[in-house]
Order: sequence, then structure tokens, then C-alpha cells
Amino acid sequence: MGFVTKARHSLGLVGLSPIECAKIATFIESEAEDAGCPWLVLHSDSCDALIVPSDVEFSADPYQVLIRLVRFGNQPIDGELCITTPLSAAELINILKKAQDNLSTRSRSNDVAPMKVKMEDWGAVPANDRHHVPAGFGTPTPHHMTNGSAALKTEAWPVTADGSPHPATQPSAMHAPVQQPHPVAPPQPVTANASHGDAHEFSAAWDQIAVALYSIVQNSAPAVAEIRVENLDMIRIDFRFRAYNSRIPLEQVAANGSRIAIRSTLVEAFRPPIVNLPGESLDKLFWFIGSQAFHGTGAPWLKPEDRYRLRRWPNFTELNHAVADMRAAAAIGNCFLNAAELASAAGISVESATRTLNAYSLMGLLEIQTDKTAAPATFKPPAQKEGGGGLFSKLRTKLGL
Amino acid sequence: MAEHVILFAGPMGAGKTTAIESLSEIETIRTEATNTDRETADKDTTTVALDYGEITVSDEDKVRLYGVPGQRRFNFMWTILKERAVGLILLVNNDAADPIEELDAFLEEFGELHEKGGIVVCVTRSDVAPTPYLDKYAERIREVMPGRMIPVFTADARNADQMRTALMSLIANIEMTAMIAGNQERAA
Ligand SMILES: Nc1nc2c(ncn2[C@@H]2O[C@H](COP(=O)(O)OP(=O)(O)OP(=O)(O)O)[C@@H](O)[C@H]2O)c(=O)[nH]1
Ligand SMILES: [Mg+2]
Repeated sequence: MGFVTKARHSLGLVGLSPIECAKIATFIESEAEDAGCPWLVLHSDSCDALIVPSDVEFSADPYQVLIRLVRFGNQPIDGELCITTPLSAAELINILKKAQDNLSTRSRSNDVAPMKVKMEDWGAVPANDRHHVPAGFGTPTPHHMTNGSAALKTEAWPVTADGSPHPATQPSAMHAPVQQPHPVAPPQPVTANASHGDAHEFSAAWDQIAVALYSIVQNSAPAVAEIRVENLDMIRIDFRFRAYNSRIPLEQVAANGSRIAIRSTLVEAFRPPIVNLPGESLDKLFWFIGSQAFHGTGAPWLKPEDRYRLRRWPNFTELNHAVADMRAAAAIGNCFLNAAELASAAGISVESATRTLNAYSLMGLLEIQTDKTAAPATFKPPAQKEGGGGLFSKLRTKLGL
Repeated sequence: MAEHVILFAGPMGAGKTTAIESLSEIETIRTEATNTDRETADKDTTTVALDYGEITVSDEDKVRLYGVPGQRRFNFMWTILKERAVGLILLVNNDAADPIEELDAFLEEFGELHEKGGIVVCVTRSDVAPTPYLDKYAERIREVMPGRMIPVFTADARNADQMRTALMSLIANIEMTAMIAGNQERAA
């Protein structure tokens, strides 16, 4: 696995804005590798090094190097590694090199500094971090050692989110005893000020999650992640299988805007999956998060001046989609478009078009055209025949879609 | 009355008869005979001539759904129906012996329908056989028919909603490509 030898350290971004995250990820993607400074950006508070805003109270674990992001108007913190806004690639690489030195002096005894993330110690999470986990989830019973596979811990949830036993896709000997499914009540919103009105407003925390997921996918290294809400692992993702499990329907997870975090880690390919396979398709999760995040403005990794085209049609049968989405897919499936052009081609608002682009790009479905000289695509639907539009709109009415 | 003929093709047991039944408003016309090839598809009957169903959209429009037999010894029917069709829903059962090979063969036989209108690929029975993944199909379609956008879905032929999604995507794609072609002509 070429990647693991390349990326020696993980860098966690905590409390940064999506733009800051995206900038850092971009700098690392474009510059750090060449500068002999290989880092893997993860949106986790349990990496080798962390970048945290200087005005956020934060204590790092002893194994971690803390880097402070000093935003405009704030003072650097004496004795701590700092970078200042506006961020520059050179400054970032410089500080990461210092962090790297710092880490290697700490682990002189080891040849390769290990990438540390808490999820690797999943089995050893202290009890007080676990006691909210309802019975039926997690694997509180010790794993049975079978066929000499003690080293392979199956971390998958024993039941699917809807409570039905999962079609076994692994040798059953590797499973912990299957427990009876327990209904899981959706977590109660705990923040007193979460007013009813914005209960289903997608909170800004999800923007961060979207950026995190995007950067993990871009790294295309074998990784797993969990999205935690109120300290409970709500969604488990195994990027190796492009699959996830969620305890409750996504809409309910998302309605809970408070205290959302994502933890991710690299895994070796041979490790057992952390989701019950086949699980749900990651596209479904990405479609959901991508189309809701960023309040309908462009994702930070998309450039307004670029145009996009679908590489593959979205698998609508597994996505919660509207009929308008099919027209949009047909438009952007057949030519390169920006958000405004997509809106006019598909007869949707620019905001919906932007959300669609955000989702497709998170799903990895888009090709990019950076050629700014290309003639803009204009769409003039042919004058409508009497009878009201084409077969599509008639059939739509007929089928009541 | 404008007629829109949509063809359903694919290997034996892919779900053509079932899909037409899911979509049709009328009682479907079926030509089933006892299945003597249990090896390829473990079911009682197989289509020997064609399946027929329809959706009357308005006074002017009718969508005619034709299913052709999967067994190749009946493939004289293919040629007749191909000429009238504007679109193809190609069903491939994921539990076939070599589903990607089937995809290849049917695209070779029916690929011209893309130029006449459009094609959608539905991968059925992926609950029975989870692999190959959809990406594999998409990849092969790109290789066989480069530069064309052919929607590909996982779909259960018994599920009317999913079959409607496939049908609507097919029509959306046909109309959009026509509109783009029209715009390009006007621009030229
Ligand atoms: N489990 C499962 N069964 C399916 C799915 N789609 C279709 N089927 C079943 O698969 C069988 C398909 O049979 P047909 O519809 O007769 O197939 P056909 O393509 O018409 O076959 P021929 O006429 O023999 O070429 C039926 O028993 C369907 O109920 C699916 O997604 N999952
Ligand atoms: Mg049949």
C-alpha cells in the first residue's frame, strides 16, 4: 500500500472553518508531498498533530503536537507552534516540518512514527466513553478467538440500522454472537437554545463533515470513519467498501445539530470491515450530506469558473431523489456546465443546481473542465408544442411524480 | 397518436417480463412457455415471442413497452422490434454467470438504439449477487460506447418505483440530448 509508506503523520483539523480546512488540504495536496513533508489530513481530534484556532481552549494528548491557527486580530501564543491567517503554503509547510521534527524526536525508538488515532484503540475505549451505547450496538462481549484470527477484530455492528439481521457476508465464526436488535431512540437535542424552527436546518457542523469526507475520499487511502453525535457513534463508514451503517435514518441524524464530530483513521486493507456488509452505499450518505451542506452555496473545493460533467449517472434507485434531479442529471450528463447553466438547462433554481453540484462532487461523479475559453452552454428549450411539454413532463404528470 | 416504443432486452431471467408488468397500466400480454433451461435461469417459464405492456400518457401519447425473449434462439424478434424502438432498457441480472459479458453482448446487439434515442442499463438481482459493483458496468459502458452518457442503475424489476425511475431517466436523457443537439444545430 504505497500510501501508508508515503503519509507518515496524520494532521487533524479542529474547529476550523470549511474554507480554512479546504485551504490546508489543498496546500498539502499540492505542495507538501514535493517538499518531502507527507501528511494525511483528517478531521479528527486524535491525530499526530492538530491545528486548532488560538482562541479555542484545547488540550492535546501527550503524544500530539498542537499547532495554533492565529486568526487576524489575535495574538500568537508564546511557546506554541503557530500559523497565521491568511494562510500560505510556505508557512504551513514550514510549521509541519517543525511538527515532524518534534514527533520524530518523541518516537526516536521507532523507525516509523506511527499514525495515531483513537479509533485504532476502539476495543480499549474507556468505559465512560461507552456507557451511552445501547445494548445491541458495539461489541461489549469479548470477541471469540477463532481460527487463529485473534488479530482480526470484527468491529461491525451486529445488526443493521433497521434492526434486521444482516445477510452474512463474512464467515460467521468471525462475528461476535449476534445480539437481539434494540430499538434506538433518536438522541434528544440537548442544547436548550436549539429552537424548533432550525431543528432541521443543516448545522454548520455538517459543512465540516462534508469537507472532511471530501478530503478522505480525495486521499483515496483505505480509511474508516465514524460520525459521532452527542458522543455516540451514529454513522460508521468504511471507505474500502464504499459502505456505511447508520443507527437511525439520516434525516434524524442530521436534525441533531449539536456536538457532531468525525473521527477517521487509515486501516490496512486486510482488516475486517467496520460496517455490516454490504451496508448502505456511501453515495447515499454523500448525496444526502452534499446536497444539504454549505447552505446552498458552492462547496469550498468547487471553483465557480469551472464547468462540470457527470462521469457516471447517479444510481437514483438508491438515492432519495426528485424528478427534477433526473432532468438535472440528463443536462450535466451530456455537457460541461456551471451552476447557472445547469439551472437553466434543468429548469431549477441556481441554489438547487449548486446543491446538486456539491453532492455530485462529493460522490466523485464529476469531471472538471477548466478551459475558460469554452463557449458557455446556453439552453433554449425548443418552443413547446401544444399539449404541454415533452413526453417527460406528461409522463411525470401521468405517474403523479 | 404519437407512439413511443421502449424495448426491454437482456439475458434470460434478467427480469424483462417482470419489469413490464411493474410498469404497464394494462394487463400485460405475455408469451411464456415452459422453461427447459433451468441452468441459466431457475424459473418455471420463459418468454418465447414477446411481452407487451403500455402506458397511455394522454390523448396523443402512448408508451409501448416491448420485452424481447432472452433466449437467443428467439432472436429474430429482436430485429423486428429494434426498428420501431426509440429507447432501450437493458436489464442484466447480477447473478448471471458473467454479467459484464452479457452487458457487452447486448450493447453490441442493441447499441444503435442510443443513436435513435437512448439506453438505460438496469442491474437486477444485486440482492442475490452483490458483485460486480455498478462501477464495473459503468466502466465497461464507457469502454464500449465512449463519449455517450448511458444511465446505469441497480434496480429490482419487481419494484415499480425503481422501474419508473429507470424509465423517466431514459426519457429525460433522450429529450435532453435532442435539445442539446438542437441547440448545437442552431448555433452552427
Ligand atoms: N431477488 C430478486 N429477484 C428479482 C429481481 N428482479 C427480478 N427478479 C425476479 O427474477 C425473475 C425474472 O424473471 P423474468 O421476469 O421472467 O425474466 P425475463 O428477463 O423475462 O426472462 P426470459 O423471458 O426468460 O428471457 C422473476 O422471478 C423476478 O421476480 C431482483 O432485483 N431481486
Ligand atoms: Mg420474459
